[in-house]
Amino acid sequence: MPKTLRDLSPVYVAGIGFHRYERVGSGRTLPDLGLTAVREALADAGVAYPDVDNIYTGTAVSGMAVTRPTLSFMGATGVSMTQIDNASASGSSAVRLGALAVATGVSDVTLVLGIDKRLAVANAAEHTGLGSLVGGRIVPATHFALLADEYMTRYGATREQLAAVAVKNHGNGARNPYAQRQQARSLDEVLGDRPVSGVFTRLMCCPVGEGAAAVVLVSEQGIERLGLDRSRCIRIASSVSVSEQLYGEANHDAELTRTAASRVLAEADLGPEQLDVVELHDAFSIEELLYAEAMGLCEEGQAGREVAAGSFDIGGRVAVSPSGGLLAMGHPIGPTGVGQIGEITRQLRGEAGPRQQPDARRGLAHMVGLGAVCVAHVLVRD
Amino acid sequence: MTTGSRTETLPLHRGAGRDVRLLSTSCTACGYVDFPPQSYGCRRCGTHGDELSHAEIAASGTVLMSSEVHSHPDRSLAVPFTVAIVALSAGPVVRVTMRDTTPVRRGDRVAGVIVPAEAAATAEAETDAAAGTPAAAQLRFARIED
Repeated sequence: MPKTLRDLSPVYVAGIGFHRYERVGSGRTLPDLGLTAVREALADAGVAYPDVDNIYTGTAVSGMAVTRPTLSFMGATGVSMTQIDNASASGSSAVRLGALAVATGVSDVTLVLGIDKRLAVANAAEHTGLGSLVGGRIVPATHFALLADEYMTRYGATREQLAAVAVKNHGNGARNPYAQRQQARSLDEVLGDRPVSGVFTRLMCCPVGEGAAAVVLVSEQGIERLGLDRSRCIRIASSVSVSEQLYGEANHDAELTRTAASRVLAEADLGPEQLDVVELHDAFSIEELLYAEAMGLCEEGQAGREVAAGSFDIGGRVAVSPSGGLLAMGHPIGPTGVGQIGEITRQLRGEAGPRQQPDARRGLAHMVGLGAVCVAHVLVRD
Repeated sequence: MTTGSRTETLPLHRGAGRDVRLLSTSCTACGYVDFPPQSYGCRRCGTHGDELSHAEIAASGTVLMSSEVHSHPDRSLAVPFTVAIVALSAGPVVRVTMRDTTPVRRGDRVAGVIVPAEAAATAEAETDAAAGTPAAAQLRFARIED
């Protein structure tokens, strides 16, 4: 029987760092983005770059071999560098592989960087030679507008409820200095913004952007040897990675999430009702409703009402997207999954300031990648 | 038919007007019926080679969900247009372009109809020609009573 993180040595997030996520054309180079996030994470961890014995970089659209051109300016240590692509879940997969390297003992200090500039966007799925009845007509916004149509028809959810997710997340983003969108929005502003597909307006869709996020993962030996502050180390309790199966008429992304979430919670010995914070893949506001239900944060069809009731607010029963989520924090792709681990770590340390979910002890991070694949982690404060 | 993957361009449909049928990937090993037609392998069980057929299936089914598209990054596509996800009577769940923006709802019965080339967006015909793929852009769906 293959092992899980639970069967291996403990892994901790010891440091987190970010470069603010920004719109394309902000003029930042790869070294600008990467060095900022990495230096902040190392300083936060109390780790020097020569102590890093392994680097994984989650990246999808920046071209081949991004790590060394970005991080050579940290000094040449000969450290292993590997890029990991899993589309939107690239950063999450990089975190997973970093956790496995530390948990198995082949690394004491793994630096996980998530970075992307919009330099080389190419989707392999368009090159299978298969025909289609829709060509390129269904972009992601339309794919999720279709799912929103189904959800609204089936559960009687309203356009206002879908917009309320965006209002919540933009409000959270306004409290996050690293978010791409830091402006609180009213319901009218969200509903009245430029229409994109179906019920979605621009503010109900995540922005395109660039940025970087970094986390430092350490083992017990790493903590001991480097004299790190154990009180600020947050444990990665479980890690799961799955790909899509055949779901017939059911919602593929929701079913994929259902599988990944139930497994990652089971491996951490937790039920969904025990989660205090959740960072999920809210690229389009309908997704927060679909995934909150698929994860078991509430009953099927109830997420719209829960959002309206404040259950998913910071200070509510479980804070969903306290960072601002993909909608407001942003989705520069490579960084996104790493940034989620950073936000949850900050929350579990009690250092999230105006975004703090009171007494947060357990968090779940979730991303879906083209394919589709789904990668999820549970973090706990022991 | 050789074993292993084959690169070939299969037409997605046959017929004209409303007398149109879709081609499928039908696995005689596990029974899975899939769209679009391909010879790579069954997406349920992985069987490939002679056990995959491209049986014709009815181009009709039931709407699961639909969405009007108000803006699209490809500026040469005329907006608005409507797309839908249809559960075909033969089994596959497929994404289709509707013939027009008449609202469709979950449960509506729809069927395929070949529309004249000039009624389809120009950009798709050019893209299809450049990619060497069949002119699938000309198959649209409409409610059976329309």
